[in-house]
Amino acid sequence: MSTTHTVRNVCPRNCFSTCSLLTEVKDGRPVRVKGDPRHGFNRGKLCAKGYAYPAYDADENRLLYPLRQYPRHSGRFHRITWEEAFADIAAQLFASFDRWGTNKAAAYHAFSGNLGILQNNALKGLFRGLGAHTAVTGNPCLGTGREALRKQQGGEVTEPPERMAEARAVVIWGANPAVTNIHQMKFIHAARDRGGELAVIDPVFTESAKAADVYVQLAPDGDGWAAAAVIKLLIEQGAVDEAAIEAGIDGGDEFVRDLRALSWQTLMHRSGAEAGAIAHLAKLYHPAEQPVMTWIGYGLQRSRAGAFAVRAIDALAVVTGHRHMPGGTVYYFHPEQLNVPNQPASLHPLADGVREIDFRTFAKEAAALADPPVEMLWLFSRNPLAQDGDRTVWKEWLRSLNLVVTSDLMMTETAACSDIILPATTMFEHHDLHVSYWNHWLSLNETAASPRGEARSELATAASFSRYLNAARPGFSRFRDDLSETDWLELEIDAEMQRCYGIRSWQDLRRGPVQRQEPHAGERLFRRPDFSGKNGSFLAERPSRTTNQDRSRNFRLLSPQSLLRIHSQFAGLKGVSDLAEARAYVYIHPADAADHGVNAGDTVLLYNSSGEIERTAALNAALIRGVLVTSQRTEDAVNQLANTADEEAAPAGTSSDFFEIRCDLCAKEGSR
Amino acid sequence: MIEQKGFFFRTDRCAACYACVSACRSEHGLPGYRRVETSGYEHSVSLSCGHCEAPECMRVCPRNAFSKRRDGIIVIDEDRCDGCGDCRQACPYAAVQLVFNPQTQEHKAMKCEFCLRTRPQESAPACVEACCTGALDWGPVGTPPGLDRWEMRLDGMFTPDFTKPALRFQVPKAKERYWAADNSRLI
Repeated sequence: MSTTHTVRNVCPRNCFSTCSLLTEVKDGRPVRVKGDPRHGFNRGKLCAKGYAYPAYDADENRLLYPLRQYPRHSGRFHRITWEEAFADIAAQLFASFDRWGTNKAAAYHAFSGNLGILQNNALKGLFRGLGAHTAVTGNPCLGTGREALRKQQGGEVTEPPERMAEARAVVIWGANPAVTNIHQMKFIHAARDRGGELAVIDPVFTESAKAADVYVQLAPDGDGWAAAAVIKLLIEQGAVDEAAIEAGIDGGDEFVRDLRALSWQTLMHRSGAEAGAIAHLAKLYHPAEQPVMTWIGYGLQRSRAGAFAVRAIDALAVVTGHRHMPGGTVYYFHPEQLNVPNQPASLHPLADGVREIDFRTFAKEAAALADPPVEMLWLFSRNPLAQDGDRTVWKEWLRSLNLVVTSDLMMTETAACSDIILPATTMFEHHDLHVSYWNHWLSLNETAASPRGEARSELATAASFSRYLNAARPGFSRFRDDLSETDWLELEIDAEMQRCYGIRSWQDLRRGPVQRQEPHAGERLFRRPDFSGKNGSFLAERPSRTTNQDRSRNFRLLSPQSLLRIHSQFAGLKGVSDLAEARAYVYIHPADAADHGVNAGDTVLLYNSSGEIERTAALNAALIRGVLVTSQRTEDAVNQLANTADEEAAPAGTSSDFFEIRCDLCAKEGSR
Repeated sequence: MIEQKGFFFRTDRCAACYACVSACRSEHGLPGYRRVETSGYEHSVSLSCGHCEAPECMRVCPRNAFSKRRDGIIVIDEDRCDGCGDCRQACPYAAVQLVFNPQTQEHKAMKCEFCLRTRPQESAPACVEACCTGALDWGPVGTPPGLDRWEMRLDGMFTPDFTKPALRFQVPKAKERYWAADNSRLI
């Protein structure tokens, strides 16, 4: 007899929404999912990917058993037991420790494949429990903009994004919620239904731009210049007072001086904006006008101009008063993932001597380490070969290591370059807690099904491996392998979390997600804004042209998120992968295509000094000439064209600067 | 007929996110009965069966497998369908699918039936339930939602004159666009 019941799960992907969902479980497997009506952000709805989650769980390509690749890099994977896998990893760990007297030769690389508080932190906790080690650090997604805003505002406190429904005007700079944050759109539409205006500013005429009342097209990297132009115009109109900027803002006098020194010609040329666009934005941002909610997207900070752009847009909201006007604000990032206890990691104090390496230069820097060199790498929640620059360096480095371990759900490109592959669980097969980097909801993910095959949650992997290590060498691991999933839940919802979220225990979340009511005690509030830079104001830190050796190539390549994937995740997912972008397109302005002898439908190569990728040409007359747009994809991923080798000085911040990519284009021979 | 049920579509709200299509597939399995057409640069349309007032599928079916209920919903009697495909040929909106059943080794005509077989009467179909922008709605076409103005036709789409589908559209509003100034040397 079949039985059916419903369980609450949470989508763990790196996405603004962090949707809670209701899973219908039949005979022990998830068969259908719906949005959780009690989650105040997704409100009973899911995205196209979300509705396909049962297929993701059942995917025939899921990793179900530990594998050993032998010979190395041969593509021959042999099923082994967890004991055998642990024996291999432990042997390398012990050998390195015995040689160097430290675990620094063991490194991990992880980011956002699963953002659950327990699972994302488990293996980090395992490494912390080993003492000194080598770890990845930074935020390749949004770090540059975050650092810029923290410098300028001193703190980061965001309004619940549901408040956008009350906005009189929403101005989105460089974000495309129609593709990356679809659940936000209903709040924006609610504002528009009440007469609010939506303006979208983007070099690409995105789905969000199409929906907007006003679309402003800028050059790539034009945002900072456009924002400065709007401020300059408002000053000239007498709407913004220079003296008030000088008096009320640190670095204000330098800012006024630097802005005066910028000619209209420079501002308009570098922004790429039509004069009417600047006038329209000046009208929207006029201090006497209705409050504006500004949304600074992550797209515009993925280049050398990122920090400059983010600070200039924020400065526009500051000098016009809209940032702190009732009904006005600036949205960027809700840092809750950093404010929660993150017990599976933080319960284990960070040892002295931990070597932390930035994402963007990880392979290059880690490969150069000595005393000790990195000998073993454990990857989880990450697929750098499909995502990071310096791919050639990465591949060579992986080959040079004694042991590469990957924990994942699917045989990613990186997993396929590993010696040991450990099968992880889907969110249906473990417990977890989730907060969002956008909305203010906290959700509980409950186990809906037992793991398929021999898959183990990362928490179970960390605990069982820790026990294995200590059985062989008592005291080698200090990871708290005595705690169960529910013990960790108890610890995570500590007194401070109970206060912030108005709950008594994690058990309260079984009835549904809750919204944060109070900020955390340690949360930094705004101080007096600071426009200063290294020499004068931040305006003087505007980026020079790239020094990349590919700078003289004909095209700038933009690679925004795809609708039906999260980076390399969900590739080939049954039920959605055929819906849109089924082919790997590159969008080209028709005149550029004609100049390069390319027709729609041709197979083309995009290439530069780092590599080449193949795409199908599609024409789009709404593009700026010289700009190509393609999705990141998994097969022939865009990162093959990304290389950090040639930049003279790394730009401020930690975000990947993929939107700096320059390349050339040609029709592939014999493709017609 | 008591009241013709149909779909309402707020064109300006659709972001071509495909949640409606994915939800339909989740409800009914592949291939699903809804699709998104990205028509031109400015807007997209989510389409399924129009449950037409003068349905061609029903008229051409040699085995009378189609029937129109009192609420206007057109349903297919699987036992009568022999998979000839005339209905698929006749439908101007490509709403009918021929689905192969590997167990019986037969093709059957299948299409949107407002989730009548999977959901209780009067509950929203899966596609409408999934639409998070409010683009897709449903109900009796005689009493449309809100005070909005609804049209039978949408520029760039098919003509409704022939079969009179129970689809109502809100036409897109005029919008302001400021294209980049000098489109030659901006990168």
